Amino acid sequence: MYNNPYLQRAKKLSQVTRIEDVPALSAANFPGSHCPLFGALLALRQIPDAAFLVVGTDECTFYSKSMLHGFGHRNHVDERCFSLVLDEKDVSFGCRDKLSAALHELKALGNYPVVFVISTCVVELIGDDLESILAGLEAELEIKLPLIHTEHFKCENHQPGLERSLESLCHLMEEPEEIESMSVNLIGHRHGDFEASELAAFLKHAGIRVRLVLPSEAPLNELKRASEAALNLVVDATGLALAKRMEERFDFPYVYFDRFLDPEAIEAAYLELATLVHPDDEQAAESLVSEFLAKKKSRLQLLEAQARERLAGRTFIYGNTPFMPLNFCLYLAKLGMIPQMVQVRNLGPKEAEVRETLLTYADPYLSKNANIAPLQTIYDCLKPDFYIGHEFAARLRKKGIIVLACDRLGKQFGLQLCEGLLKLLLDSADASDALKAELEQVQLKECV
Amino acid sequence: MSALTQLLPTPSDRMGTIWGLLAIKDACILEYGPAGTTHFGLGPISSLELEARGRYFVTHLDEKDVIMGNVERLEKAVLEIDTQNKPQYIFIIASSVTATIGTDLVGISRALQDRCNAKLEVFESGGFAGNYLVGFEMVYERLVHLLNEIEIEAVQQNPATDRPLRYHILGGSPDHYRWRSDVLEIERVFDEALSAEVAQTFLIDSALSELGEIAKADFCLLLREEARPLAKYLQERFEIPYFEANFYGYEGSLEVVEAVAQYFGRQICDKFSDEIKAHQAEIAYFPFYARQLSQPLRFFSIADRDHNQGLAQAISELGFEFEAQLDITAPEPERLAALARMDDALVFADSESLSRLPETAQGILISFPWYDKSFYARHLPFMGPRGMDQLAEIVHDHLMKRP
Repeated sequence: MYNNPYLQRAKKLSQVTRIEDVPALSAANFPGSHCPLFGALLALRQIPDAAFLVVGTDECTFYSKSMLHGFGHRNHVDERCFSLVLDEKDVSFGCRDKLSAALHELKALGNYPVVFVISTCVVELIGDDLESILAGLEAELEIKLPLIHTEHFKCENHQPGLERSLESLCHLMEEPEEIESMSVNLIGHRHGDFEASELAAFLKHAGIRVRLVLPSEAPLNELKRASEAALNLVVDATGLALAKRMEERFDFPYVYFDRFLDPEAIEAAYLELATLVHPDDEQAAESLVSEFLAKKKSRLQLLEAQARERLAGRTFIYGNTPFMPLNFCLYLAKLGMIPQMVQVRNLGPKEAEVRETLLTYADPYLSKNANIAPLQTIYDCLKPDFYIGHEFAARLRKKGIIVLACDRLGKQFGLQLCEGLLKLLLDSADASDALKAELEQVQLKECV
Repeated sequence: MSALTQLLPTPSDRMGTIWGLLAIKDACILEYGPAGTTHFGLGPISSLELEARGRYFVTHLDEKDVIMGNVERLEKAVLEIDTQNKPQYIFIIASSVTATIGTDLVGISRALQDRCNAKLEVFESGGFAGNYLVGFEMVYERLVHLLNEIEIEAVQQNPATDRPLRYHILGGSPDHYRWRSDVLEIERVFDEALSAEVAQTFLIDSALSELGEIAKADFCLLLREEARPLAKYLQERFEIPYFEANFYGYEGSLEVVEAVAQYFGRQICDKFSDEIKAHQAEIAYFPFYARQLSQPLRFFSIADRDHNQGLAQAISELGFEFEAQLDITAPEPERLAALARMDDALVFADSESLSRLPETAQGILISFPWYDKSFYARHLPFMGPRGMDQLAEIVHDHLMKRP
């Protein structure tokens, strides 16, 4: 047990099964997690012809509008963001009349077929029945009013905002007229150019067209026809809610193909996709996949062997990457690396499956993310070889720690992702050895 | 009255309180509420050039805390900050959520005080007390309250004429555009004209650890109305007089210096006076240039009350006057209507207003909020004689472009 107040507060993976059981490293956090309002704006900002009405205090509405301004004037999104600022009276007596007035004004102002109404903490607290208010107004104003609830005191971070925003798009979709059999919607992609990924290459190889990407700059008339693809290809957990909603509403299938760091899971997901091409021929579907993956698998196996040799015994703290934290740590643990601490924002169902297996390799500390100040003393206790995520590289170098930022891997999928990560780790191992040698030299000189 | 807000909403008193406290170098702040507003707030905090690292924290809240009124997170956070960071004060700020559910932060902090070395101070409004200028004023009022609890030795007033005068600048609020340039200009003028030295500035760059030295000043310059509670307090307790400093223009700046000089029986340095006169002679021709135009020049501004007054002073010295000056917190319909009629005008305003000007108008950024701006220069004031130099050039260039 370390004599560090923050580590004494942290729990081990073996002690935790839900995100609610994961403590923050400290009671006083900085900067704290982002809220679902942030997630909602991130997801919706690309939609070109919709307006947004943020309902909340002057603070939430100020931050929303200035955040959208910060994205530049792409699609003039900041000009399409409006606020319904609630004062003390609205909090006491409800915001029904004001909301109605604001939407009437918005209708008169511009020709927006859709207005996303985003509620915030205070609105959720006072409990106005926004669903019914908006249902009535939709009929009256003849515009779509999808509602997104974003109350940070009911969740840990901005992910629910992303999920609910994507889910709200189902409200805009219509019954299919004709299904395009060899096509998919890509749901949840938000890290760079999908076209460069192995998954995109597989789709091309299989003759499957990506019909719609969400979130994206797809106009509303394309969104309406989302149910005319053959299935949803969900590439991020935030897209699962929309996929399930579409399954419920349209009997619309989906395949979940996240940034798995698990060759078996990757192959299984490819196989599911291949059944689109060969729905009645399992063998043909398997051949399609094995043919596509053959060379990649051999290459990966060689790299994994190399990695086992170079990386075994090296320790790391997991901070923040585009991947699922426990899935990531398990992959590295199988190569012999040792996760000392994992910072998480969620423990979703997929992570729960991984937990037991990871515990057979290691029992790292677990803490909530977005709280960087306490880490500084923890580095001195745990002395990891690597910090995986965002940190001040120069400061950590002085402690002998190499920072690996994995953001650029976020646009990769499949075995390509495993390969990319291993190459990054192998390069970082070289850097780590060089840094340790350098620091040893410095210490020797100081002793002399 | 319009329900819909198209422009940036006016920031709340709570935001002003947080910004005002962060302007104080060693203030430690703990927000009791969901973490989202803290993280979201870092964007504006950074654009206001306020440093938050190591002294700005949030507890976060979950549903159970809200429904059951569980304040354990707050208590643990306060005690943790007290132990780890050892600040002199911890300012506990309610969020809109905790204010709405009626968490008794004052009562809780009273109960915790015995277990803390830091003095606990609470701001309870949660953002429902007004706009951000009210928040700034709350911070000044709190400083008065803190000073009331500190034993401070009064300093003998009526200093001998061979000792340099020392003064405080009150009203350095975070929303002051180009503050660093303006404060350096104030310091330069008072140094050159009267060999006076600045003692402390409030709020920007002030320090709670230095409050004990506050009596060591001969006078205060009051730049912003929100700072008046502090100015009045210093006058009442320590007999430190304050001068309302509309520190714009050559004449405007000189008037402030003369008022101080007269009060203390000091002589203004001739070199300074001569320079002012020379500049005034240079701008004497502006009305003549304006008479050559086919249409009169039009001037507008959108800023806080004190900046508006300052700009009015400066423009009047060039022989012009503002057609309208809107307060930065004016209702949106009023602002939109005014912006729509600013054709061919020279407009001093914030970034958002400037982005909505008619194409024929010329905009000059002078007030908050500003976008996409970093401040590297320290020599570009709008206040003081050098500020007037800049303003004169801006007006001159605008004038030359008119038919």
